[in-house]
Amino acid sequence: MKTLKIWDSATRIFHWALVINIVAAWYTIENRLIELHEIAGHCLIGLLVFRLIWAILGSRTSRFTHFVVQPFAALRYLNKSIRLQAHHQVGHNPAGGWMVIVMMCVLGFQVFSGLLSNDDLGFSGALSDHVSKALSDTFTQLHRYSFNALVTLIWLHLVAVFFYVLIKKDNLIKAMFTGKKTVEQAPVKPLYFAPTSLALLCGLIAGAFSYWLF
Amino acid sequence: MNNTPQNTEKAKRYFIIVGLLSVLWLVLFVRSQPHWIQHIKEDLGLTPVLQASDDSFYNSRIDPIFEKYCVACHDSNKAKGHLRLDSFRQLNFSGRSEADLRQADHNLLIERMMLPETDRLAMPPYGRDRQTEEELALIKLWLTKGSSGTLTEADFPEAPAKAKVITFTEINWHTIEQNRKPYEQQVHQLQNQYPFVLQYQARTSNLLIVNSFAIKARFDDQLLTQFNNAVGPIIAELDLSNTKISSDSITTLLTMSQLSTLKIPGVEVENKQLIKLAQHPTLKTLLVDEQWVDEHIENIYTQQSIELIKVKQG
Repeated sequence: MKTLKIWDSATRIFHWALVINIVAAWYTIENRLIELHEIAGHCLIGLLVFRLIWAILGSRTSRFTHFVVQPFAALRYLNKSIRLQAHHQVGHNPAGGWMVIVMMCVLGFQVFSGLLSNDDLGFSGALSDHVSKALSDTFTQLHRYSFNALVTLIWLHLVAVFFYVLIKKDNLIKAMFTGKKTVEQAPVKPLYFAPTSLALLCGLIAGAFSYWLF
Repeated sequence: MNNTPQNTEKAKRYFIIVGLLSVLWLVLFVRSQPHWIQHIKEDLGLTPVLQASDDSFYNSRIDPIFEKYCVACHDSNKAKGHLRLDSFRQLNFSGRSEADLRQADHNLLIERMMLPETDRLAMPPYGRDRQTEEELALIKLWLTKGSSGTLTEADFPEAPAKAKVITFTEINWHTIEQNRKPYEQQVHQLQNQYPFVLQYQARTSNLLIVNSFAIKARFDDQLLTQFNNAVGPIIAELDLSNTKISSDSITTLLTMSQLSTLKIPGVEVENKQLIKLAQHPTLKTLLVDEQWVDEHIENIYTQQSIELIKVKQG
């Protein structure tokens, strides 16, 4: 058994920042703090843009090429994993990889619909002036509905994570904090970790894009 | 982790718990959608359709208040706070607060409506039209009598009388413009040539009133023919009082297909021409000097349902 670095700092910070911002977005809208809700939304845009760039240029375990597999392969893995017949050790597992894609799509739609929304009380999303009021109203509704889809995905994500933690005795939560994991066997090819400076540059670009939209 | 029977059992237990939690979550979610439950109950015939009767106090007095101040944000399209106030049925389902909005005491809806308008939680929100004290009192009265969808106005004798609402039909300016277009140029020319003589019956009409008062001294048969040739089919009212037209113009007047009012006091008209004029298909009112009208003519006009007004000169 070896302790191996799996996740770079950028991916870990992204993950927990995403959690914090989703909770913040939910809390602020529940308490009618629309200005703060908008800020949380724009932070989510920045995070999503960063993750997209990082999935292309980032460290090996964060790249699409590392975790996106054929959908049937993902389903086969899921089936075996539930029966405790398969165990993935480094990076996102095949089913988890698709969860990342679906989560990013739903979150992407959530922030996009938020950008086109309005509250009829003086607030309008950054792009809502580019569409008709009726379309903006429709997206306001869709923004509300797609949150249910997001909550469902989060629930599935938590079910999967706790399945690993409680049943498979593989503490994914700890790994997402420390970046390290105890594995039976290290990968043959050493993992590539992108430099922090590149992460900062990507973060800067994503942040600038989000701020430009604001 | 090894695929031992013990571990498989653990995994099964885990998914049973997850399944139960998912079902619990689903149940809570469905419970938070009372309109789904109501629909299901109604479809199964377990409960009557939840709606206010047409003659209910709610529909005649309470619904218009919500329509005026609340429905812009609380309708099927937006349903802010998951609350809809666009019908009695929807009011019953409440909103995200899940508060019972039909209760008389500590009613969240009333409490929010009574907040100072600058309060963050005030409804309608700051800047929007706000209900009057009388309207609020009316809602409270309805709540105290059980928030019924069936009680009628007769059950609320203490309620102030309903204000009369006058509504105007919407004007289709485009249609009016289109109707005026065929004679627009001719009307314009005549108005320039003879100021104060020609005008439309109303802003919404394409029919004309011709009032010869300003040019009565030179309004003769020839001029009438000129008006008839230009705009005859759209003349509805024609005032030729004290003009120089002769009885011969009756033939011209008979060709005006929309003429309904004709005033010819001070104009000499032969008996037979007046009889001829009674055959006009659209004429409703005729003003003429009394001296030209006898009993026979009066009878003819009565038969034709034309109001004949006799004017006494001098």
